[in-house]
Amino acid sequence: MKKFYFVSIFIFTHIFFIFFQIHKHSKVIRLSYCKQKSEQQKEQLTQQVQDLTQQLYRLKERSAIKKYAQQEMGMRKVRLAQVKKLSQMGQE
Amino acid sequence: MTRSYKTRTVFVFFVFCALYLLILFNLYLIQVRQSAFFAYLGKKQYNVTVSRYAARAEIFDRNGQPLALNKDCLSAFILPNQLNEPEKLKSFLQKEFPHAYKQLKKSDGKKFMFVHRNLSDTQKQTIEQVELEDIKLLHERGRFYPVPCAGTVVGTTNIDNKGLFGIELQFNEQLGGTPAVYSLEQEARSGNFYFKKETQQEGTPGKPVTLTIDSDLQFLAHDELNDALEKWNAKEGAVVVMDPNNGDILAMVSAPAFDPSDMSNVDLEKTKNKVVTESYEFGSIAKTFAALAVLAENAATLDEQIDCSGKKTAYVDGRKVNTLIAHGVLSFSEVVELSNNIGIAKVAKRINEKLYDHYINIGLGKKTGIPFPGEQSGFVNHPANWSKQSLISLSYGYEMTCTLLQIAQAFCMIARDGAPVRPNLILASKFQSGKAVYNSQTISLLKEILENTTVRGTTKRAQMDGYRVMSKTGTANLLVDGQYDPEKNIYTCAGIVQKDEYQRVIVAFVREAQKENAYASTVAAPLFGRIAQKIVIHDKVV
Repeated sequence: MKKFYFVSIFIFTHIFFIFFQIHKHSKVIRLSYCKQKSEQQKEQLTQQVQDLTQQLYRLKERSAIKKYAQQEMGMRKVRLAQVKKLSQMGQE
Repeated sequence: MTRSYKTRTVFVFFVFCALYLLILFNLYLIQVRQSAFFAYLGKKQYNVTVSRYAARAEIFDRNGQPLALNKDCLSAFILPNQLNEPEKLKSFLQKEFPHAYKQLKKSDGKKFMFVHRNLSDTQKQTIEQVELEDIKLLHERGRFYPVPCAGTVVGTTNIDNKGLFGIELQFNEQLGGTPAVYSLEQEARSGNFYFKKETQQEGTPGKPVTLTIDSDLQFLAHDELNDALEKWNAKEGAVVVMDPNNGDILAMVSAPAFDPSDMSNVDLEKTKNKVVTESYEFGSIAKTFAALAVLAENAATLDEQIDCSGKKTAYVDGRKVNTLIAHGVLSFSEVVELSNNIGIAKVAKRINEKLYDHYINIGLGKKTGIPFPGEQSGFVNHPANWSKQSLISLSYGYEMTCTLLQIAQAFCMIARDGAPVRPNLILASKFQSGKAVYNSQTISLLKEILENTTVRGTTKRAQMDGYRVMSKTGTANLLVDGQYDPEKNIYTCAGIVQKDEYQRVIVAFVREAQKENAYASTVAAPLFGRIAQKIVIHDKVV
């Protein structure tokens, strides 16, 4: 009887460890998938940031701003003679 | 149990035994004898080696404004040996991408073929509209340049995102870094995931480059230059602005410009950085350097009277010399101020071969050492090769070529009272200044001449109220097919703008103005003045 218990416990312990090993392996794979998905998401977000940065700098392009200022707002180039320095006491 | 039944049972038993033995033998062959071969097949299916570059590093201007950023670009490709609708694809390619169509005809069952790389928005739309399953899109890395007028400085990358010219080429390794190499145990079903990732070789990310260029000044100088080119219907032009206190190049402009973000139909001539990579005979600008040499050798004083013959054409030592305006007797200072070729040639004769030594001492005829690909060293005719004309020609800027950057460097030396400075394009670079090569008294005499040139000489149009402007112009014929063409000229104005401690060196250059009365004094000097005004307003030195 004792021998039977010993053999049973031995077999079940092994099955238990095998189960845990499989469980551990599948968890590693699952987490690895999650990590890879996050990496892919990060890449997509980086790409979006790049696209938005590009859009931002296209809007900030100086010749386009100059064109808008001159054509739409009627602004003109500043000449040095038009620039006055203001001090705390008033115009210098 | 009958005998025949026993025999049959034994027979079946041995048949099964034989089958098992066969299986065992087969297993032995697979697992033991041919294990290496099958292990190789398995590895080939699951293991993939991947090289991955980190994103290319950015290029910034001195204020942290980006000059080069990364962007994602699309490329179209096909798999010629797996086409679903070959006829439809061929007719589409023939119409929209004839180059790819020709390639496909020659491809002969290739596994992979690019239709077009770095697709434009229009090309992308055309491909999306046709809805051909055979054309697939691939994301690749490219560059976006937010300041197009800095294109000739920053340069651009090729289709594989490697530096092609400019700073992108010069610092290609630093910007690109080194790739990381991974070994992946790939999931065979989708191919999108992996079980295991091992780093075989650590990569290094690219390091950004920060230039001394100020993108606002770059734009302002470019804008003024474009206006001048338009006004004079000129072929091309260039401007360089330097801070003589540390040698920083604040603006380096070439026009007409190109957009480095769109290289599809670019004229390669426009991609040249004319400040560094082109050298010319700049004409009378060299009188500044000749005057410096004469003063340093104590061969003349500012008020010494020089007979300029009162004619436009005269003979100096039997050699014919032409000058634009006839002058009689002028002081040495006035010879430079009014840019009289006859007068400067007569004075230069006094120092003879020493003129060459001074030109070399000033930095002409050798590279400045700026980290930029394709820098020209220029040329100064060596006394060993001189003809009777050479000394005369050298005194007013012929038989010698130099770049705009060399002129700017020489004017920086004048601004620094004789101490040379190395032009600097990279912000982190250590400031390099040498021992003074001219004494401050000589330089102050030269500055007086240059200031008078602005006040009452050829560069009156560069004058600015409230600022000390020391400048000199030069108009020179271009050499075409071995002969000087009087119809093709270059116009240059170089000088120093000063207010108290604040100093800037500006060199403005225009090539081949197509209108009447085009001289450096009417073309380049006003351009110099307008750029100087923009700079002092930008720098708030009013």
